[in-house]
Amino acid sequence: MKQKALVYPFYLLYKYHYLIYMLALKELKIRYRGSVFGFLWSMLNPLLNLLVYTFLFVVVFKNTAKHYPVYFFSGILPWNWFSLSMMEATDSVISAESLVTRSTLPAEIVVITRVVSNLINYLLSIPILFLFLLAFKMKISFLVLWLPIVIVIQFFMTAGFAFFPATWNVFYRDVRQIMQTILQLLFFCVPVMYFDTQIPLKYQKLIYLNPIAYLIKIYHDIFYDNITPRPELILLLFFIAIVVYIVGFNYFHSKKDVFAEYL
Amino acid sequence: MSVVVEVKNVSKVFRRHTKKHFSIKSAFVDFLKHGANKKEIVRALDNVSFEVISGQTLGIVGKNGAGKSTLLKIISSIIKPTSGSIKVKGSLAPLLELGTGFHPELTGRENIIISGLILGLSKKEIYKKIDEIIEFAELKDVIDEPVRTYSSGMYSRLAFSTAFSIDPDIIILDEILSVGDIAFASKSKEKVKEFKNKNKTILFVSHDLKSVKEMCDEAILIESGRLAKKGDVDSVIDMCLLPKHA
Repeated sequence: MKQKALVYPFYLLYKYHYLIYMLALKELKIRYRGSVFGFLWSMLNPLLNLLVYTFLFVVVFKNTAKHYPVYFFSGILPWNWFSLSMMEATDSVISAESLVTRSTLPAEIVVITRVVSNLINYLLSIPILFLFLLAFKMKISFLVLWLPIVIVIQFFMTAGFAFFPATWNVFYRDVRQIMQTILQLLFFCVPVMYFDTQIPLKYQKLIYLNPIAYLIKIYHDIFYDNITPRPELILLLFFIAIVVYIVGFNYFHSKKDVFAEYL
Repeated sequence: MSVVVEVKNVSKVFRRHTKKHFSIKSAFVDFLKHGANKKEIVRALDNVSFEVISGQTLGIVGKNGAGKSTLLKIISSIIKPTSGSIKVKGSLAPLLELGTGFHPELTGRENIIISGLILGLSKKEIYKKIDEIIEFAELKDVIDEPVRTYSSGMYSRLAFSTAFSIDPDIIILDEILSVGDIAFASKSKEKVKEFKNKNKTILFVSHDLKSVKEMCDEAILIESGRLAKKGDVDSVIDMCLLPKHA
């Protein structure tokens, strides 16, 4: 029994990987339905955002930090992946009502799917970030090789956290409303818009109690600061991510028997 | 002859049946009124027991809201019984609706793949069977168009063909035979008979007593959550047709 709780969350990923992939593509396809550019919007959106923010930060606010737009963008893109996944996952069980109440598909799949569809979205936006690095004459070092590892860590962490609001929202639809505010608050607690050195030291410690803040820091290491992420930090985050995933998955799993009655 | 589905003393009680949207506010109000929701208990199934033998086609009849769907969901382990137990031997596939996982924006082909995977086919199986499915649905020309452009008959045909590409030991059919035009309806009945001939076990729910009579050997009648009768299909349907049951 104990062993099953540890292995099943990963077995499920393996068993349904193709379905998860197909469902994630479906989500994106629906998001861009009817548009001329379709999936290209996953690249165009960040590009347009980037131009607006660059104008705002560099021209209007005259932010003097070096290559500030690059700093901002290397952080906001993975943050968006996290935050959109959380938001969509919260609603995922309810919007997949017919699957949950009339098929034997494990409901965990619909939560994981939302994280994967936003991952695809994130992956598509990375080339834009590279273009931007080149435009700012910054070098793309082979620190980029760390990226897949960081992405795997973020995937498990996001999915693990997402299982909680996804569960609660079935019982209390209010969760969806609260999530928006929580994510907004969390956004300001993570050094995406500002540098961690800009805040008082005692708050710095507070901010780094949050594993997401560490993740964002690693993205900054790779793209902005060009320093090798500390391996022990990566290892620790990987461990945390796996634990969060297993705990979240099993929590969801323990509650899902009654989902069909609440939908 | 072995028993493949065993339903033993199964009861199901639903609470808060009338409340669709549950929120923290209403939870709080209920908490204050303490026990106000005790009145809302609905007994959907009451001590139901029966067995299904391997290779049998069992009809399940009864009025709307009698508890048939709840029973099927419990057998498919989508919901849990309040008390009692279910034993199922072999693989079981519930077809409780047509077009499981279908989305109107996707093409017919994409829907077949996703729906097939959800119903339990592997990637390999679905790609092997996809041509056969398209052919059976008679939708070769439009299969790469979005499903929202289909007529309801075309939609049903696609859904039916996809659903019947699976190959379980036990299959549960909830009101999904009467789809498409007359020609397709008879074609789909043939498909079910083919399943029967392969000695698969079928649980067959329908309001169409004629097709129950045609398909099933035995039947059970469910009446307000209770098992009112179990026996050969003719006697159960006769009882069904009595004025007080109609």
